[in-house]
Amino acid sequence: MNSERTVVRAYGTVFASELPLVGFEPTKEPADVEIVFGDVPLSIDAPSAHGMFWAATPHEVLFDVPGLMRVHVADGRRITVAPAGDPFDADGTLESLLTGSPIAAALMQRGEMVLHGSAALIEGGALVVTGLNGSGKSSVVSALSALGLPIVCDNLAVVTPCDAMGGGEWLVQPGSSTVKLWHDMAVALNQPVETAARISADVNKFRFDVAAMLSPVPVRAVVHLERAGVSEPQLTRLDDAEATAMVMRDHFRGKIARVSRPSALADSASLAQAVPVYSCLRPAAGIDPRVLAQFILGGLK
Amino acid sequence: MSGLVWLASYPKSGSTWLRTMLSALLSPEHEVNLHELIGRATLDTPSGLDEELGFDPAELSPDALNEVRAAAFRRAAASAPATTPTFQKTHLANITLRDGARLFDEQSGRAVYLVRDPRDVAVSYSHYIAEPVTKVVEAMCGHETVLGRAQLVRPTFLQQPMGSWSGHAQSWVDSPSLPVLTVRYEDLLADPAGQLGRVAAFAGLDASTDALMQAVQRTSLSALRALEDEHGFPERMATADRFFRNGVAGEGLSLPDELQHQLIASCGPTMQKLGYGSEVSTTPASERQP
Repeated sequence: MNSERTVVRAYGTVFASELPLVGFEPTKEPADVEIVFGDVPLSIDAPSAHGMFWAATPHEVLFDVPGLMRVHVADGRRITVAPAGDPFDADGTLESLLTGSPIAAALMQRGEMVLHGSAALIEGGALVVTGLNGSGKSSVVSALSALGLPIVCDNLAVVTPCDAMGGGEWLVQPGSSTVKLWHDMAVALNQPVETAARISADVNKFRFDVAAMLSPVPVRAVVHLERAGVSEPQLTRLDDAEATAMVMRDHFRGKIARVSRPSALADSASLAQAVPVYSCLRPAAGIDPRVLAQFILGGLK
Repeated sequence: MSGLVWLASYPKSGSTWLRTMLSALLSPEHEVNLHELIGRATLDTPSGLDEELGFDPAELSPDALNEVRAAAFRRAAASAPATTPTFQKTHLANITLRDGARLFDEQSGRAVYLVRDPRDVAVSYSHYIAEPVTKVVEAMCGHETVLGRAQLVRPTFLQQPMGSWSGHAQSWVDSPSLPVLTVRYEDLLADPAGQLGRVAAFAGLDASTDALMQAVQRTSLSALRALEDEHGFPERMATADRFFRNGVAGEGLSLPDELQHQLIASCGPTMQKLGYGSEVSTTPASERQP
């Protein structure tokens, strides 16, 4: 195991980790969350929500990835990792998994609203692109990055109300300065696949360094991206009720969010009233991500 | 006898039709709802496995992903109600994992394996994904074939090992790991009520002859096409005009000789074992698929 600690600022929170975290801004600030190797409980008492391989209470989440690792996230302060195999994480699998659900769970326990989204800085603020795995979030923000627009975050989008700015504005917090792209999208976006690192061994998804924001950015719009049986993309602005429902749906690990953050619905409504929320239906296949990104930019009011 | 029952098949082998029949059989009072068919794949889809795992399964290596799947299948079988069967479709081959166990092991329930003449599968699949039949035949003969993004056999984000048509069929028909009922699509066409009765009995359903006949009548090709026209079907590919095409047997016999040879070279022994013969058709060239 790695005895050195990596201390980084990620999504507005400082993490000190025994496992290297790639692409985040190093810092010397005191840690808000510790990530350590250690013993992980086999179960947690009286979970409020669960799946086959996870369980959550308001203050604890337990993940069990068979054959790979078990992770316990407690009180928004401590993430304990028990690898089943290689603790040195030579192929990057642990890091890749850790920077998803466990970090998101810790942020939620700290009261943060975590959306399943990626964001880039466009004129007037951040465009937050939300959607399920495979909807094209990373491809769209990478296409925007190729236009010279810095990214703010990829896959996790932490949005926070900003009272200081008045008028109910919201900020999206910076994540890492990398994006993860499947091979075909990376090729479509002319990314250097040959020299890029896979996110973990035998996975045809690669990590690319991109120009990224290091400070929070006001949210200009949220666009929920969804593959559908359409031949051309369609962008529709949602009314307040639809937008609130969409933001709720866009919470990362929504079941855990509802357990960890009792204010999830109220916060969703606040964000939906403050920021325009759109639904974008896109063809299931065969659309160039640059075309899709330009379409979205052109459709924002 | 109830519990988890897998509806396993190579794609385009009639599993959707079988699911409509089972839906009609289990809900005789309601119109068949193509959007709510029983047996929907949940654990081998990205969103279904993601929901249960709490992680994005697409970021796991293929070996790790399959081991996670195997664990999920065991847990699903353990939690399936004992009083009524729970059906779940899959196109996965029942592959051997790194530790020598099968993907679907003896604790994963039971399986109905629906098999169809690979020549007909090739034609149907080609229509379904709007790709040349030569590409489909090549995939059906490839031992490493996966349903997944890399090969664009079907756009999905979670690779599903299928192997060749022959390897897929062998992995299920000869499976040592769980009880399997093999149903030929051609037999389902010839005697749908009889074959549906076999499936029902295997699944522990007590179905009368009348109930079977009614389920079959309500899910005839014309009935399903009418339902698709009226309500759409979420599993239709955007590139296809419709999902329920014609469902006939024997279309593949008009494939060009070289494609039939290619399939027979790869699948011949398994075809013979399943009663499909392995002779190249003598259909006149003018009647063959382009």
